[in-house]
Amino acid sequence: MKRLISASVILLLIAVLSVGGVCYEQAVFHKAEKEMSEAKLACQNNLPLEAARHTKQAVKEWEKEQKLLMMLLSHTGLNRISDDLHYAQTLAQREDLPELESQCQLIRDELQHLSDKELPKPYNIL
Amino acid sequence: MLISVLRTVLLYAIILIMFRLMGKRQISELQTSELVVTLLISDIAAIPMQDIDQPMISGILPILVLLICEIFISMIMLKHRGFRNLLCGNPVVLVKDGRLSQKAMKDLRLSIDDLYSALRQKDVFRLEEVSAAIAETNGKISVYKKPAEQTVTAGQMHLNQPDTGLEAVVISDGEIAQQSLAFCGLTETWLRDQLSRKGLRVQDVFIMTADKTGQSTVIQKEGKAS
Repeated sequence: MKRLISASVILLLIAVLSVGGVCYEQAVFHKAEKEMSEAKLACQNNLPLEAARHTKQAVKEWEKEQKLLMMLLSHTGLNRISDDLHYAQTLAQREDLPELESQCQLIRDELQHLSDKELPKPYNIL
Repeated sequence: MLISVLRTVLLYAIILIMFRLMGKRQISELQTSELVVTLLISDIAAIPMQDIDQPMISGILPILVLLICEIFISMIMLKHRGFRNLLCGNPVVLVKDGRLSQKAMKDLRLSIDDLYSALRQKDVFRLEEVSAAIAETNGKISVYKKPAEQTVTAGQMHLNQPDTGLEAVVISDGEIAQQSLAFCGLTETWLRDQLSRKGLRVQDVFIMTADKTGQSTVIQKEGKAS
């Protein structure tokens, strides 16, 4: 009976860690992706201040969440996004909008890829 | 480097707890499902220990999942004989009344050398001595000798042997084993009394054994012997 209780507690822990972890990751990726979309749109509309604001916000939020994300995901992908976000911030400060626009797209793709990789879909499982 | 060290310590602790939860059988005789879990854990644990790029959770979570699988599978096996047979197989009779079952040997892909080696380890040197030899589900071979070949017991000779019970270690390296004392039905007062008669203190004793009749043997620590 003791073993069954321990097993049930561990099962609950696994469920919380795995399901909760995926939900949290998706929420963070979605938020960062949204900021990058806004920054990209601002670049297309030739609004450097708006683009810089969204990029700065994305970097700030990413830095806040990255520590927790590193407990759940491989560090390589997360560090790459972090580096790309910082480069985007530099581009925004330089007001290099065409370059910033492609950088935002690159970050969005990376976020999308990381987000897709974590979803429990058949092509990921198999 | 420090991360690897900390991770190794943490994973070691988790695996220790895990094997403790799996039960004692895991340590000695492995069934198929237990062997699978044991092999997998050693591999899974090694990854986050060495690769600090991987989060710890990527090692811990699969280990916990394996633990859960093992606990639930062993519970189902306990309740359902059919499932147990499916997973662990059945014991197979290899020798019956001194006659070898060639079909069973072939099915188990067991060579004559393997069988004779197992028989010799059971102090059987001729096949005719065997009443039954059974290949157990954990791979071990149990041997039951013919009555004429068995060692005569005191009971068979109607000898009235006193039951002294199992000899237990009551002091180990200067520490009293309360559980062993209780097992023998003895008390700490009795123990201290025995030691004082020999002019010894608990901390001077390397090993002290006793049985339920109060028979005891004391080995002093080296350098303390008078």
